[in-house]
Amino acid sequence: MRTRDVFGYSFSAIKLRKLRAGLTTLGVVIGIAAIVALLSITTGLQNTITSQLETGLATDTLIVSPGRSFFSEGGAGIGGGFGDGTSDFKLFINDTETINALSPDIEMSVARIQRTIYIQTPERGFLINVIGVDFAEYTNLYSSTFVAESGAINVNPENSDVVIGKTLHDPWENGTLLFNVNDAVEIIWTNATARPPKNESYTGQITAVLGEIGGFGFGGPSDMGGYIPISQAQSFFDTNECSQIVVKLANSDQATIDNVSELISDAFNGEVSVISSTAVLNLLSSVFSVIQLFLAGIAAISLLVAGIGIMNIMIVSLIERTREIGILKALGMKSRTVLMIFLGESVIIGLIGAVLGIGSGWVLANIVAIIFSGGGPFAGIGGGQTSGVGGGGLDIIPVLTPTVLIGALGFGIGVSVIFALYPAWRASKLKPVEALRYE
Amino acid sequence: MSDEDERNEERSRISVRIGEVQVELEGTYDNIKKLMDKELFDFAKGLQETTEQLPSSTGITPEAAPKEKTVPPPTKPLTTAKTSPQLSSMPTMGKIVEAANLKKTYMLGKIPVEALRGVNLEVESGDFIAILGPSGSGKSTMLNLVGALDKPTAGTLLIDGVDVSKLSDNQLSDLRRRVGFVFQFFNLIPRLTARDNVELSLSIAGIGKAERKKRAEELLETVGLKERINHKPAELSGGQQQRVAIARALANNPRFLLLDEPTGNIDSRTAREIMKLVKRLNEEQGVTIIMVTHDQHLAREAKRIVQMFDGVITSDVANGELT
Repeated sequence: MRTRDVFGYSFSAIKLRKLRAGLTTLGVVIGIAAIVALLSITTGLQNTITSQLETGLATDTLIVSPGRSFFSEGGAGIGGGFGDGTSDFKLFINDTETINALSPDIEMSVARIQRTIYIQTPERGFLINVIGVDFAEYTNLYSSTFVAESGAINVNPENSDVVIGKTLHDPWENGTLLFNVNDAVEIIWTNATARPPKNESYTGQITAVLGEIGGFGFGGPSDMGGYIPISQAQSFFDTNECSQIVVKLANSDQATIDNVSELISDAFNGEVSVISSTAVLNLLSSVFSVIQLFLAGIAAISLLVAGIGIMNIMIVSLIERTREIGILKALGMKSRTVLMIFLGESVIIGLIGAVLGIGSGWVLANIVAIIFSGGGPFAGIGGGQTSGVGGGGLDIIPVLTPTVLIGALGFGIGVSVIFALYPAWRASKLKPVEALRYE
Repeated sequence: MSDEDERNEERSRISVRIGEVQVELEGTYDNIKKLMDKELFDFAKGLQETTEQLPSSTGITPEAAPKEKTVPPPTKPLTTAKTSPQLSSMPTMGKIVEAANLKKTYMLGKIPVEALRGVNLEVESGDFIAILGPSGSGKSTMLNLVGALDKPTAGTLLIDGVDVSKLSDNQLSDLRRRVGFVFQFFNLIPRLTARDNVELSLSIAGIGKAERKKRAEELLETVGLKERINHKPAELSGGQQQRVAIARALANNPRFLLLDEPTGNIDSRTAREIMKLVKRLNEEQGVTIIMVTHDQHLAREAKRIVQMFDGVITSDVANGELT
């Protein structure tokens, strides 16, 4: 029997029991849709986060923070933010000189003092991260992002100068401004190390608003950050310690990154963690892989249930059609062809289920993405030490990669076929005489 | 019925005991076999009457009793186990079916049931054979074996010169395509139209769509169903369904047609039409036909009548010879 005729016959059998076949297919649709939706959303989320990170963190920079890395000692360590914090090691502003002397691959290094402060005018106030940096060096380091959209960044700033990110200026992009150039703002910092803790404050003046950067500002300038001259930060926060040192490399080769990371780590006896953007991205990628695998695994369970449904319905069908199988065999159909007919039915169910599942999964992913993107701009303004990740307003664009597409199709058909194997095998093994006698 | 019959493996000799009388009937009497089945009773009764007239209960000679009955003397030798080696050595040309000492045992649960107990049968090309017998006589089992639906337990069965018991499942399937099977309950696929049912048989044989369509239409025209070609079995009468089944059975130009109680499930008028069609196929197109039935009237339509009882052939005669 020709393959086309085998499928034709399978299809005619499915058509006869539309509702039953429909419900069986629905099981596959739900399983595949769940897998596709979860994978395309997580892939979209990963892409969004990665691109935002890439915006804020140039690939040719390293960020050196005090504290050992969990993930690796020295080397291209990952996760200064994950430093164990038990060490007494401190990174000082003048450590930039040590770093600069380490390698010709290091172009420059810039120290940053970062604190969470309260910025307010008589009308409003917000808790933000403020970063004390050398404006001249920072402009040099982040020449594309640390740029004023309005006002001007003074290379030799006054102590009262404050530069703010775009979100602090015009968060809703509708003309309702929070802080503007030339506004006098009160900077309030709670000195928790003093006994008793006390609030320090000074009046600053906004001299510039940065252009929109996007992203999280991980390491680099951020839309939600405030910037003050490093000398002012030193005296206001009364410290010579810095939170991070940003190192700019001559190039972004992996070898250079690894080499310099190791040099820096060694120079501080492994007491610092050196984060490169590639390492962060790699970590992120592997974290997402685990999440995806986990979610896909959960979704696969529903497909497994669908598979059992297919098996169940095929066994019922096999019993109902015992006589038909007897007829087919009496007409000279080979056992192999009977097997193929039953498997053909499951392939059709799997194929239709997978195609509809991919379609509905894609629709579902887009609906979820729209709901996700609906958060307010300040929904997740953060108070993290290294970065404030805005959880709201994430523009997730669901991504359906060819791998997911083909995988879902293959998985849908595969599960259907695997669970149909046993009933199909039983059908093929029926003895014609006995099958014909079956009522 | 107080008498009982016992038969030996050799069908040329039959012993009958009525009361205290034991009668040995030698196989030279063709009529003995015909007396089996329902006629056995009348025969036994007659025999009893004969023996009652005799002064001694042991005095009868085997030849005497049956010869007094009206059965004509045998004109055709029996096909016996003894003669079968001679048969198989004969050239197979023209012989479509050759069964020698064919046995089939089924397991009914744990109890073995001997459905065939040594059948010898030859079918020539162009024959029209009716296998007659009551239910349980093994005639359907015989048909299943000849139709390659089942394998014999012992003995040899050659179909077209090929030993069926040596064939694999796949080869049996191939063989079935050369056999046209017509069942009592039609066994059409309900969801397919008349044409599709006929086409299915061709499709299984791997024939392409266009040729299938053409051939199916021709066949349905042959059986007189041109107008009902696109009707499903449920929309056809019993007789029409059986015609579709015959058309389907003929689809692959089979070596022979096997009909299992072909009119068992349709009214007598339609049954006559079906038989007319079957006869026409045999006479005009030379289709070899093996038909199983328990209906003597139907069997009379055949050229040759084989009677079966309790798993053996009890008579095998040309039609005219059966009274």
